[in-house]
Amino acid sequence: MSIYINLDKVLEDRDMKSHELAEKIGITRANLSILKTGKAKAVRFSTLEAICEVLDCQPGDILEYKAD
Amino acid sequence: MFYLLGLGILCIAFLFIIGLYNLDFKYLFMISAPAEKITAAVIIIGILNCIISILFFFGVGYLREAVKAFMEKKIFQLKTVLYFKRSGIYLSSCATLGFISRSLAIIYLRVDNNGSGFGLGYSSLLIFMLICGLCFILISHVLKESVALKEENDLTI
Repeated sequence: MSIYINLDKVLEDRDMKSHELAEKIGITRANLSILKTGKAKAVRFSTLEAICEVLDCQPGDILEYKAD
Repeated sequence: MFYLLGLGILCIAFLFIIGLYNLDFKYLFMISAPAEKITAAVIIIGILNCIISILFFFGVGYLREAVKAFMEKKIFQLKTVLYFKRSGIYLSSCATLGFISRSLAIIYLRVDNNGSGFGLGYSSLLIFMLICGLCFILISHVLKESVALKEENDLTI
């Protein structure tokens, strides 16, 4: 897939751990791991909204398009 | 519900075995007949019937595995899809070969096409088995699509 997830970078900038984010947005660590590793097939708007709200960022900061 | 289903499958298998027995009974007499009566047609049909029996039991074996996977709630897995597909392929091949064998028997051995004796007519059993086999192949395709959908749903965060 040409869509890359920059969640690690954003988390590092915010000095936040993965499990903290998972707890705050109400998804399991396993699902957050799937999202971070790019294995996810789709992201719900509600999840994206929660991530953006917790990390105080825009969807474009997390998602990036790179042509293969 | 599974017990009823199992009983139904047992009944069908029992009728089917009786049907096979009805068919093979005549050939048994032919094979036990004097050597000059054992023609190439009898041998070919005998071999075909052996292959049919093997395919049938492979088909039923894979169907058993598929039912087992269903009962263990492992429905949306590629393994179950594979079991259904194999069962369908084996059963439909068995039916197709059965038709060929039956046609050869009618042409060369002058066997009458009427089902007689205990079980259902052999041709009816073959048609039933062909339909079952094709249905299993169809189910396997549907399950394959379901597996893909479930995977997509599981990987939606």
